[in-house]
Amino acid sequence: MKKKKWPRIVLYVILISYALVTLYPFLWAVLASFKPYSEIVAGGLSLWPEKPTFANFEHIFTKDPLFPRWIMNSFLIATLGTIVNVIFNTMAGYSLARLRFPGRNYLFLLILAVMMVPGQILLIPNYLIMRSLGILDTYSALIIPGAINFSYIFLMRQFFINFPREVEEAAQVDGLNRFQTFWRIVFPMARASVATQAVFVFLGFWNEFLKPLLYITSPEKYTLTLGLQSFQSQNATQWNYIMAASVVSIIPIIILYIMLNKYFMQGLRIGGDK
Amino acid sequence: MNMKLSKPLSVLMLSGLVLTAACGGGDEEAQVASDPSKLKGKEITVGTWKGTDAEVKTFDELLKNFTNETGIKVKKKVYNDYQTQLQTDLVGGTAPDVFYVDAFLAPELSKQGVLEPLNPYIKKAKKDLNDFYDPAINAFKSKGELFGLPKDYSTLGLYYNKKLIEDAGFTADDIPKEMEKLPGFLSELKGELPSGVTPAITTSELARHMFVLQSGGTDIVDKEGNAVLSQPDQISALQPLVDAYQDKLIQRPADLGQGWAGDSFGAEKAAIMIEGNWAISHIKQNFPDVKMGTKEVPTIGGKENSMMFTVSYSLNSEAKEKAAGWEFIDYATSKDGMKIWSEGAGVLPSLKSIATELKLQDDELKAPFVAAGAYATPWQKGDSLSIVAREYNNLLPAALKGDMTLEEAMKKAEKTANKDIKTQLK
Amino acid sequence: MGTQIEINQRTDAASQSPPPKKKKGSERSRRESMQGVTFMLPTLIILVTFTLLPIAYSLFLSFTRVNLFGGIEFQWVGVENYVNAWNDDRVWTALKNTARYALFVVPIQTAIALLMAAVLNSGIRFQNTFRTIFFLPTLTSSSALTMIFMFLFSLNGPINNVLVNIGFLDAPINFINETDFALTTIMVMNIWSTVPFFMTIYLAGLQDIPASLYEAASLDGANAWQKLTKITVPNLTPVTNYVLLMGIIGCFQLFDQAYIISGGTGGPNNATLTFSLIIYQYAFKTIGTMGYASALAIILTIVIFMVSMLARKLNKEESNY
Repeated sequence: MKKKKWPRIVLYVILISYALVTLYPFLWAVLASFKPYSEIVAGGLSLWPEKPTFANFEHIFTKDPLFPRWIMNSFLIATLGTIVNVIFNTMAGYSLARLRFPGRNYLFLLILAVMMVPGQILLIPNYLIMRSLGILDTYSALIIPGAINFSYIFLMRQFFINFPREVEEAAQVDGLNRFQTFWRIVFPMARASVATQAVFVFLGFWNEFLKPLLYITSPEKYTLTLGLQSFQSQNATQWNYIMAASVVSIIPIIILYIMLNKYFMQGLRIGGDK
Repeated sequence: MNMKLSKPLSVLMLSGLVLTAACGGGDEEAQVASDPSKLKGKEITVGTWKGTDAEVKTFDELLKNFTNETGIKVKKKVYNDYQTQLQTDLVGGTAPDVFYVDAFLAPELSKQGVLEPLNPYIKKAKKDLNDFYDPAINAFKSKGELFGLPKDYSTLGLYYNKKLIEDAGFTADDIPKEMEKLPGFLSELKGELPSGVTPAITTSELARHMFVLQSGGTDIVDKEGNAVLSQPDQISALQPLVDAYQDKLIQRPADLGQGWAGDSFGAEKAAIMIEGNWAISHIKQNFPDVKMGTKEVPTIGGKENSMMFTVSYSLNSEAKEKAAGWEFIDYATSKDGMKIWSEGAGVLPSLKSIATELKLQDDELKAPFVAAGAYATPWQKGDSLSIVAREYNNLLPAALKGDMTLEEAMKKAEKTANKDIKTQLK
Repeated sequence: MGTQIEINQRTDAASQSPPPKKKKGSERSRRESMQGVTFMLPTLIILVTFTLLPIAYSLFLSFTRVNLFGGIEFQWVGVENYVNAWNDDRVWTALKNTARYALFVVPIQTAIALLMAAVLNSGIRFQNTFRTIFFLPTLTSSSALTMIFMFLFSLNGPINNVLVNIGFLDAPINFINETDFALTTIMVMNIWSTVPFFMTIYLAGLQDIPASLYEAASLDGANAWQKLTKITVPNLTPVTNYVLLMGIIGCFQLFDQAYIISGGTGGPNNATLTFSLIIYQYAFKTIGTMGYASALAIILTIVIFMVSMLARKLNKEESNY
């Protein structure tokens, strides 16, 4: 009896302490969005605002009439981008793990290698390419190059490696071709990893900053992160607005996470108790 | 082997990407329209960065007035991250016709041929340049050619917190006018300040200290573009700063937990700071309860000095609408345009006549900054300044903390900077 | 049951067992090749257009001294940029900083992520709540996070206040501006913000390990630790490879936090000069040094590649018991 209880408590202690460590900076940021600039900058221990104010939120919502538009733009781009990504990345990961074709292993290594190139120097060549394709200042510039994501292709491949063959083979015996097998059997069974991918891909699009900065010039097309960036004046960063803006931009993600939450834990046990 | 590639070859080399080649780039003949009305209906793009709310509003007003007067339409391009975006724009050929150029970058950009020399335009338009403050306009001169006209300027001045100074038993007049006497005063002040408040604050950047280093007569960059940071007169000019820091008479914003001096001053963690006039509106807006006063920067060796930061309107050498672009530059730096701009945005005008007209010398807070317009050193030094500044900013903290002597730190900074300058720029 | 365990213990380097039906072998494999390529098609198109092309351009630039505006002028200098990099003390400092950083961060964040995922998966209550809380750090952008941490670790900030109050420190430490601590501060910040990501990945991976394995082990008398090391970890090898590689890549490419904390200088005294930061300095902060920046980027890519391949080899060996 003792042996069983003791580990449980240890687990809870670990979890709770880690949760506190995780929450503290986050809480700090959220509460800071209710503080005036002078209070944030003065430092100090207190989390709770001395003089709580909604002024920061009011400011960012009303300062620029395009604010709701920016939120919509971000949503549009992130949603479209995520759908496209999830499909393409999963297909590619599956192919790399399951389908044999000439040069497959080299392609995989190439994809790994390409991830290792630091992004800063690709900024200008990519800009030139966008310009010659004529898609500068369009949403396509944000979605098309980002339609695949090497790290998630990699992720899906790793997940598919352990995927049991018999399921696929059974499907083929039942007369399904490869595509049907993939879409109807494999894809749904990889729910946990697909959902994980979806959330992070969405997050990636949502928080993307550098690409919109360089490619989008019309204010109506700004994404939320880009629009919020404009709260930085040339000389000083308005922390109060930035904290408020961060809070606002986090909310959709939390909602998305809660929606997809059930998939994280659910994934069918592959193999095993069939 | 220098290959100035002709268009077809470069296209080949970069697999069909379209490049901006400067071949055949525009006539040398100044395109000042003899009849400005011919420019009606043309559209130009102007590159700007977002400043304060007042600046944004005033700039739009300026653009509107310009269009009303000349019929030339203006499209604004707002840079959020000026340095990255401008470079990308220039390379990609999408840079605006007219854009802001920080004096810091002007030498490099003009050397690269990115900026159109304005002398022919000025001559044809018979524009009077004498009204400009000398340091401001000289910042954009290179080898006799003028590459931009200053739109305004900022200088450094000394700020003091009225309440903290008075509570400590001093008056504003007690603050020394000579830099040599300052450490002594700060030392006395320190004893009377509440705990957690530091007498003075400085940002440990070359952009704030350049005038101190050069006060002995030695420039921080020599004629060949090499860094000069460790000459005896420079070290002895800067040493008091290091000593004061180690005596805790001066601190840096980061030491106190803020991002820049304006915040530390506003949070009343420092009684005195030397900063630019842009801090005035920042403090008024974010720390409305702080009562501040301003003075000119203390003299060094009896000579007045300060730093000047200025930005020009420059003409893109690849611009399609050069004549219309020039009209804008002319208007914005004319008496009318300058008045609208400096009055509305609250910045210091680069034209002396406007400063007088707006009675800025009577503005209690702004007067010291306006006065500095006549003698401040521009923050600019050829095309190697960014490397020199990088190393200075990198190593000064080590000297401040006492990990190295000032001389060691400056020697190392000089050596590293020069090695880099030699490899990269020669 | 025996076959299940076999299947689940496949490592990612294991060759795929030949298809049971060998009839029409070549036609089958041709079909499979076609399918493989088709599935990869969208990836290939984007890979070539938006990744390989720019990389080729950068590779080309690394052999030149180039001035990108005012008329593109290339000066072919061969390996001069690379030679200069070899002789550049700052480059070596940056490499040392970045390697030290990765060496410290990668193992720690992998271990914590795995541990937390295992704990979360062990059937404790309030699982969803904990998971959602742990997920939060991934939501905030790295710049906002960096600034938050800068406040937290500042001289008068909460961390110093607490440490001084409990007597652990005599006087507050200027974490961000002390050469010794600046990089460590970034390490802590980074681990804090990336662990949730990898933890979520591990969680998804843990779903795929059949409960039957654990049940069998319990019957054999295994305790929690043995289950963790002999079942969980080996089965997670592909996922661990992912976490390791992405961790290495992320650490070696560390830029945002170093930039914000040092204001782009890499100071104090090069303490926060990471390799990506030095690349950025030469790409955007000085004009005419794009060729050098490109060479540095190629060097960084090669370094990351070598380290990653090494890590992959090590991880494989560990799982062979």
